[in-house]
Amino acid sequence: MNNDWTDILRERLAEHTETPPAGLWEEIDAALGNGGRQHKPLDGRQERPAAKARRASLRPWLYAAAACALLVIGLFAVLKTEKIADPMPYKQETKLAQAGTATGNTATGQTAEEQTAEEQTAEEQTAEDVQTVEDVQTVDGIKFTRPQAIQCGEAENTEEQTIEKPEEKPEEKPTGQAQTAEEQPKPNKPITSPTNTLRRQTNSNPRRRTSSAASAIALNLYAANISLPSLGSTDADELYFGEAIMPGPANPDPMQPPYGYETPEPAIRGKKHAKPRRIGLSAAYPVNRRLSLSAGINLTRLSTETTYERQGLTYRKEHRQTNIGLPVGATYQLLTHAPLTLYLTAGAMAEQCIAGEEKRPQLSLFGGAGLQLNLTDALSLYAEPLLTHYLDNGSPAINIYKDRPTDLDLRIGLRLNLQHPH
Amino acid sequence: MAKTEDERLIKQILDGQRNAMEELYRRLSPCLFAVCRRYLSDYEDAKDVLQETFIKIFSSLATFRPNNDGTLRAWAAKIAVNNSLNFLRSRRPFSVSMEENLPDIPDEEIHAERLPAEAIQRLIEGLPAGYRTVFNLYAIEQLSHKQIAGLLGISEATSASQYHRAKKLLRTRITKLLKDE
Repeated sequence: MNNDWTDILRERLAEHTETPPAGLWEEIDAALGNGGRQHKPLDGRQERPAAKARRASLRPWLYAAAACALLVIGLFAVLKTEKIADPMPYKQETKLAQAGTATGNTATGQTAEEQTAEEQTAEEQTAEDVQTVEDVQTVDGIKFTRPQAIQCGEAENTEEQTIEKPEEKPEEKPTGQAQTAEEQPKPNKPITSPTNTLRRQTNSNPRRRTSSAASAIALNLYAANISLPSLGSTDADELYFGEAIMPGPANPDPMQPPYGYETPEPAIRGKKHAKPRRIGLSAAYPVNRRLSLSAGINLTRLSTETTYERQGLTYRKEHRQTNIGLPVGATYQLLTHAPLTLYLTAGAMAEQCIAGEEKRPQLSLFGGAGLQLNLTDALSLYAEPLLTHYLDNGSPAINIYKDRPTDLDLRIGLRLNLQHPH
Repeated sequence: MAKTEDERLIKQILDGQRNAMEELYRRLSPCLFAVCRRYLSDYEDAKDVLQETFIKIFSSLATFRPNNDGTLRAWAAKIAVNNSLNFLRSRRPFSVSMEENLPDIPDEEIHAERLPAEAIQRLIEGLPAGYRTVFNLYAIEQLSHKQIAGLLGISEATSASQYHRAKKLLRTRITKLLKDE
């Protein structure tokens, strides 16, 4: 009671009603999933809050589903790579042999006369060379030629040796070839050059790619705990006004001051912390093939809801804090298998609050493992469960660091390899 | 709604009866829409908030405790107020309103009892946003300035000042309205 004319307004409004918008129940019913209709926004400018809330509640599940899909794809890629790693060169060259002659003239666009000339050239090859080719054909049971390295008696050469001499072979052809400069096939035509085929396959070898990527400077963009719900709550945004504004019963004594006046600060009855939500950017510099050092910058949002009682009523208040952090760390690559890389990481971070009650800097130590899925030579996805310990900075601020100094975070991110070995 | 009727409806809704949900909507939506309109002058905004309020009511009905929360209608009205404030907060930071040069009219000359509820509602809706929010919270929901300050992120002095300005402006408009009749 305010003991003035505003009391009359309150009494008059107590029973006041307004006609709700037509068709609203149908929209609510649809939003609740009972009507089976799509919930549409009122206009094109803005989505309805209800739809937004429903989508937000689905978000953790979508993230979880995406993570599972990623894992399945990764495992599938591992198994598939195991099976096809070695037969690939033979398979591709079989196609070459089937497509044309031993040197693939059809694919180079040569005329029939040119093909005849090359057939004659093939007949002029030494018996030893021909025997080498035939050995390979017998092994595979299919008519095709091995790469030029075989024709030149270099069958024992390693893959790397073959790659280093990709263009020498056409020049080493027997002098009996009746081809003019114009008639010669284009040397780097991919489909006709077994050497190029080998090189292409070598480049796409996931094992080589991963180790090469490990020696490149990496740029990481990550987020931590973004999809996780608040501890003990499903929607942190609603905590702020959760029950704090709920009016209590009318003040029993109108001569007493209204609630909140002349009463000591209430004791906190409970706290509800949201997981720290963090986004950041870091760069990692390789020290050697396994070890790299990193440094970066990140932004962290902290949210804690406190519950307190006063005059028999329960109130809630949210304490929000935004920190800017500078992490440094080291990463050690443990294992690389096909598109996956397993590594250990550890480091330290200094944070400073830029919005909130905290005045003192916060130091922390973190460590954990990471799993990286190499999508391409330059791009990877990674996930890192990290155990973090926040050192006590002695401040009275209310946040999760004080009550849970050691906590587990899940960091998910994209890794961009800036230097490519090729 | 009688308390036993509240309990019956709640039980039916929790049992998954869609008709009970619709019945609750038909009963509560007029008063809840009035609450939303009192905080949000824009009709479409109030409609959005009312929709969200009902979704919240249905999703948290199991937590309703008649002994602690009072009647179902009072509980639902609190949710509507909370959602309205959340909506205002999500749109923009709270901004104070300033209207000067208003005449000082003594309280005794205000005959608010002559005003119909509809007119009072429109008068409050017509207040600037800062005045309207603080006036609603203080005069209608009966919160303290300290509580309002905590909610809106303003000082107690600002809350008190906004309330007194709102009251002064309302006084002027009520007087003018009654004179025109």
